Amino acid sequence: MVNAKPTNSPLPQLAFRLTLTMILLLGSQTIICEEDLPFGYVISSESAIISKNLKTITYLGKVKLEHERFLIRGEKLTISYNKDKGRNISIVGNPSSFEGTSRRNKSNISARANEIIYEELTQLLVFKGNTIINRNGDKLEATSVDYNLSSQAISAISKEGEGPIRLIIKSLQ
Amino acid sequence: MNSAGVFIKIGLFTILCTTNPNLFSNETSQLSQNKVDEVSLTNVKLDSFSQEGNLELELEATSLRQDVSSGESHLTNPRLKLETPSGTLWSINSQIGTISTRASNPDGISDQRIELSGNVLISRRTDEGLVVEIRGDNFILFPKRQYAETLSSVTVNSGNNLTTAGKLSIDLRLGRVELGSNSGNYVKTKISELKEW
Repeated sequence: MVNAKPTNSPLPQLAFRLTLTMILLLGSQTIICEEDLPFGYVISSESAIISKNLKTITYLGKVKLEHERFLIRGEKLTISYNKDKGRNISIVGNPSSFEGTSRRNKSNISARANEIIYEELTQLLVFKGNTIINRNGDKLEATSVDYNLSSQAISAISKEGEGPIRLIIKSLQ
Repeated sequence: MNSAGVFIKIGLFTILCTTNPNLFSNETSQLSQNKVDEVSLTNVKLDSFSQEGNLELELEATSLRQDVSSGESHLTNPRLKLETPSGTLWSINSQIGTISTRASNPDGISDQRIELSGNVLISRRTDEGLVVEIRGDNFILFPKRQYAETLSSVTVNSGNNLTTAGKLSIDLRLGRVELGSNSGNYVKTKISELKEW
């Protein structure tokens, strides 16, 4: 005869409780701590405004964007998130400045422009308005310049009505 | 319930409403008057309505103790819910809180002040599922002025971003959160990158 009465052993109950606790712990929304975040970049400023729709944050006053490979300074930084395009960062200043190091040839690049846009997904930096870029002593002046951080390619196009592109190459002597 | 008990309850409710004219308790599980000048309530829910009759603020607390002479109410485990501007929901909770009402501000309007302290958590969720969570040690809400602020530093979690700031203020009319720096501590956001390169 089979005894259908369940045993009063605490082990199955304990195992069930432990499993439930693990599920709850893993499934619950955890608080993000600075140490938990994967590497990225840091934005600092005197103040910031989070928009009503939570999609845009505007940083104001002595703004700095510090990345492992570059540093951008300006007066106003706007970061917005788009589902398809990812994060877009615009830094405006008088002027905004950029300092970076090329990963390939370890050369230093510095730039200034009225506005610097960083498109995170495409790794593209766009310098807009009175742009001056210095790399290894060479100087590029243009209204707008694109700098691809992945390929290290710099391109400038002069549109109709804009001033010519000026490239000053450092003498080899 | 005898008629004297009913009388006391009506009397105390009137005192509460007189000192906090916009608060109406609609759920009182236990009411006691330990001293003449003190009112204690447990498991309270206080609703505040706009002049148009819309529910603007909902406050729940494990207990409420009011000093009748000063009109100040002390709360334990307060939980606040606000919808301002319309469609923007705020949820705020903390360990303790205080409700006080200043006689009147220069505009002639009595100024209500709700101060929450101890593990304050302010959260907001948009229709699209975006969530922002703000943590701090204190939070002061002025419902009539549609304004709120903190006096100490805060941590803001949104997505994979973590922001620290010296102080915070909220314009509830616009649903806008402003973060500020204090004594050399800048607003600082750490952002994890979407793509390795």
